[in-house]
Amino acid sequence: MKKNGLALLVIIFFLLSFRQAGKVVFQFPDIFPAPTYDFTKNPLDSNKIELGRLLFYDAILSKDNSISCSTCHSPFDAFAHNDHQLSHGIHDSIGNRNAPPLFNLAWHSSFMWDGAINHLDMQALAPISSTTEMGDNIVNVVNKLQNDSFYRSKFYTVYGDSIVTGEKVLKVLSQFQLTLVSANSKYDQVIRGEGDFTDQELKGYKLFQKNCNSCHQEPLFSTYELAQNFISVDSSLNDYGNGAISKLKEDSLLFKIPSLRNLEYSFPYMHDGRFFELDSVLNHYTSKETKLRFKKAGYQKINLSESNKVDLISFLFTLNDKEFVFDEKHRFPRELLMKWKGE
Amino acid sequence: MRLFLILLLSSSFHLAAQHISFAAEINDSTALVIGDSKLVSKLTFYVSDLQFETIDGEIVKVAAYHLIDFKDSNSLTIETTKAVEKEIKSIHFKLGIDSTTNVSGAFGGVLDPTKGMYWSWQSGYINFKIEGIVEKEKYILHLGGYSSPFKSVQQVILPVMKQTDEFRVTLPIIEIIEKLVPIDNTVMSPSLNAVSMSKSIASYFYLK
Repeated sequence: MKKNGLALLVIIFFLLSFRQAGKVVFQFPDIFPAPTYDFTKNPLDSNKIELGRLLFYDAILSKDNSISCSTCHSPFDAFAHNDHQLSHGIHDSIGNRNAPPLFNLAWHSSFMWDGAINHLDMQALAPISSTTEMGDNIVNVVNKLQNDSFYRSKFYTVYGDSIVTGEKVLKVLSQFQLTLVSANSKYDQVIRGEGDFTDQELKGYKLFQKNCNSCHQEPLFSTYELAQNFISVDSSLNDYGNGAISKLKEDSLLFKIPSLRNLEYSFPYMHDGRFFELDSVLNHYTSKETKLRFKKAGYQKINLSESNKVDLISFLFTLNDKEFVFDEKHRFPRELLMKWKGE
Repeated sequence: MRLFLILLLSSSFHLAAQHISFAAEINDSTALVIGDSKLVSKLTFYVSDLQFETIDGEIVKVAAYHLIDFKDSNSLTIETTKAVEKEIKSIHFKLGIDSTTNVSGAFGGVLDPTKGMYWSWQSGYINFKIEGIVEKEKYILHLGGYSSPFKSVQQVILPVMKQTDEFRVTLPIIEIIEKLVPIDNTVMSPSLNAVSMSKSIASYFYLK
């Protein structure tokens, strides 16, 4: 009896500690630079991360409960939507861009392919409001969450009051997304001295450093700045990137430089998803037309033989982070299934 | 007798907190709330960094961020926390939200994006919104933009002519509509027009 009582106490203590807000230290490898996200304004907390995860996977964020963030940002695709050139949204609509993968967001200085969003907290407003994504608005989303007993109690647990606000919704979504850190690819292991590249991968690494590193800079494999990719404008999309946002001529056709991590999971490539194979991307960058455009823009041209391309791709595949893609911490929360069953 | 003295003392030494209220002036009448007016169906704007400058140059902060919404009469008055006892030389405020706040993520209160004063498809606060119908045509002006060359936040300085507890900051609506709508009746993103319109509006505020 005494033993049982003790066990009960231990269980209660465990449950209590589980419910308590837990400060979480943002962890990243030594070789990564300091994050650009200001964590002092939104300190990580295990309950907030978990609430952000629930919202990320819940279609309640869309007008008709059909689309969640994860519809276009699946964990198994490094939070992109593989095999889909353009994102799919509410009422079977098709967007005008390829949903980008989501990881290492704490280092991004702007968001969306055109860099239109200046802060991770404000990013979710764009898909929530877009008529070809979630088709809703933040006022309505806040009302829906406020009228939902499950979320009311969640907000109470996290904030000590059950009042839902736009700020809280946006900040918990940021919290979950900030935890999507991809830093355990073969490349990372080699850098940490826990493995070796093959001869082919090493050749590819050298080619990468010579030809790609100025935009797709190590160790994040992007500077996350805006640059031209020199692909021709798709006349059905007429996407001029940042120029359409800033209305400045010099920003025309500037798109955010994507990271080269997790390419195996996040095809197709480019802002309009036009290339399904890495070969096609490399063929684009080494084509005669692109070389001319590079020359005109004052860029150093990229020369790669066919065997160089194979070597380079073998290196690029060392940037795939299987542990990240299959990490249970980032997956669909089972609790949400219980909530839906209960409704 | 003692009670009388206390009353006398408190009434002579106690100054009431100052109120700054915002009013929209339409055809010589002052509308405190815009209801079903067709001419102006919506009028909302941010007032930030509201301060008094006293006669000896001291700056007294009154409010950091305030959202004026002419559909909500409670939003139109800002009160000082305690009375400013020195002579007030001028009232200073920014029409709109500063650039730093625009790039610093999500905020609550009047800055919460649920207040309808934040763009969704690109980042940035809408500093000033006016909508309505003039000469059977709709106009919709959403003015904002936080970075060069479309930075639209404006500094407003209103000289105080006579000391009072109740300052009424007034915006002449007809003049604004007559000046801005012919330039463009639809502005919904940062642009050079949004900047020049913001400058015009800032110049129209006066103390009544």
